[in-house]
Amino acid sequence: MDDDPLRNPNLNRRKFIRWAVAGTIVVGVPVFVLKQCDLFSHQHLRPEDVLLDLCGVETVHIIGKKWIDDHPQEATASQLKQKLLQGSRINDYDQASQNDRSKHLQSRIKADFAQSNTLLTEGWVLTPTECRVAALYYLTQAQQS
Amino acid sequence: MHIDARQLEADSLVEGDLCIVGAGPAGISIALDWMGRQQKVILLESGGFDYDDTIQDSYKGENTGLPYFSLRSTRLHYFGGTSGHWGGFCAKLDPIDFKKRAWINDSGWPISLQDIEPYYPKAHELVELGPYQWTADYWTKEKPAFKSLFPSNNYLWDKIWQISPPTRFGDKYRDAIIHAPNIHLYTYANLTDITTNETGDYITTVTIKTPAGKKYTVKARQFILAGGAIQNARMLLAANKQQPNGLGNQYDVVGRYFMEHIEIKSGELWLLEPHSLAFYMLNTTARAEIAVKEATQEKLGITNGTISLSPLNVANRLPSQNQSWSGDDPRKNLKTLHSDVEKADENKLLKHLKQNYRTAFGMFSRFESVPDRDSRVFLDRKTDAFGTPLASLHWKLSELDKISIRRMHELVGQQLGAAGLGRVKLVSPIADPNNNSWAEDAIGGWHHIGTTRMGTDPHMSVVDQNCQVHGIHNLYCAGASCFSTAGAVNPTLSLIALSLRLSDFLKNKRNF
Repeated sequence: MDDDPLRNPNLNRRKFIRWAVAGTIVVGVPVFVLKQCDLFSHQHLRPEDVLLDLCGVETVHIIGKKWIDDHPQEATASQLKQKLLQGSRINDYDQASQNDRSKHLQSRIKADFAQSNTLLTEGWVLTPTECRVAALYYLTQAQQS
Repeated sequence: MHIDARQLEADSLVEGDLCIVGAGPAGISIALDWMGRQQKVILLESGGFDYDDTIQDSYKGENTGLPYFSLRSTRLHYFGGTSGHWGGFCAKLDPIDFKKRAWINDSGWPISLQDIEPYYPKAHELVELGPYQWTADYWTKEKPAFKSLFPSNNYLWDKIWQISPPTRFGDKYRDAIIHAPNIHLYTYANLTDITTNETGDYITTVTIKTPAGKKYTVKARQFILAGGAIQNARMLLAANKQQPNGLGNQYDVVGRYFMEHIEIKSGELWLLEPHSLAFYMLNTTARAEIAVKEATQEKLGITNGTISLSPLNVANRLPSQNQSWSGDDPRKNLKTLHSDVEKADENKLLKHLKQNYRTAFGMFSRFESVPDRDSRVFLDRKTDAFGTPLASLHWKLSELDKISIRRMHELVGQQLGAAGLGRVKLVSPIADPNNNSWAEDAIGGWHHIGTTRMGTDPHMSVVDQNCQVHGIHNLYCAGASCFSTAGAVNPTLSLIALSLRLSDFLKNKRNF
């Protein structure tokens, strides 16, 4: 069985997200932190992980690609990062801690929802911020594969 | 008192004060309301006490509009009427349902919810519901497992439903009716004609035929048609010997504005943390459905509707209602429907909801349909065994119907996201924002509404605010055929309340 979620869209999306998050944590988080947090609580997930958890990797790719196709001015990772950081104190997307980034993005997503700033994409009611997150994820994964 | 019309001598004349045509929930509720009074009530039922295929055949009809259930199978043609197979889901109409809404063509009743409100408690009792409590506040306090998804939300609210056993009117009220000295129930008494005086403003008699072809006449001072929306229109249209367009149809409104509830699987609700959402699940007492507040309906320019929830794995395994209810035989269809639900819920999730926490839920929509003059019941050239033309249906929906469902799901998605609870996914056929047409997708809830709608203008309506047919002093319609708009909820409770209001009106009518 092919375990690459990008090549195997049938891979259970919850298994995938656990696999993905666990992989990140194994590399970057001391063991004692693991003991203290609920790995799969959405509050600790990055917005892209929430999307992956809900929509599945294949759909996240479709949503991301569609956003880029519809918004050619946001076709690169740096353009997307710039858009995602608008209104934030974070200056550099890549240098910021994952926690700060997630906090900013999640609060922006909530605000988008509260202001009815949403769109229908692949059937999902999502915010533009989430679509940009999906687009960035799509580009990043495409680069890696 | 019960009389089997087949035993009457041909050409008999039956006389009474009030003649009710149709012994379903509307007709029986009115008859019960007249028990013990001085007036003689004649209750005519074209079937017997049990299902009979040959009688049921007169409910056959062609469908020329959107995909719909076989007309023969949607109503039951015997004492107790369609309460013989209804599901028992009850909710009250909302104040907005009665209002003229600028964004919905031909909306607005000539009465308000307040006019019907006094009759709901009695209707509630007749369908054997629980406590007369219709607020989420009451039920969330009463049942600790009932938690609102959107407490104190500015845009959404929890619409309460109560579940009837369901009351089978034919079983429950048969003894009361046949033992009431002033109620004369005639079974196998099929109305074939309505005769007026020369000026056409007063009904003198109705003609009744038995299955063997015997004819007799009923004379009364007041007549109520209580045969359901399709049959009420059919009876008026078929009474065309004196008035070629049928009775009450001088402006070609009878049969028009047929409405149904659009009932479809419409979306998925995904929570970020598992929850039972027991408040919204099917159970035996009460539950909530997600509804949109009046001001938000106006702001979004949408129709009224509600969304119910069920475990997604059950919802996904359930066939659509038109797949389960696909044949001509209502009994077989009902069996298939029950069996499909059991198969879909093989793990008995619906029976153990409180213990089952999950993140994925199916969203099921029930929406009113926009009143449309071209959505209609009309007479076919074919006739039934009694010689009466069969009814044909042309059900039509509008773009606004589809847009409304989509916008409501977007709103729920926005509120769910803003609360950090989860996300909503719309499913086909609602999801495509560029496609507002209805093709093979439409499906109803077995609710026949409109066709003799209430209004002040005879060009736009058939009955007045008291359910009296315009221009005919002693002819009334009872039931959901009188609804000017459909409302978002199943009609039985409200059609009984409206029928009891008509009953009260007649009791207070001068010289009656």
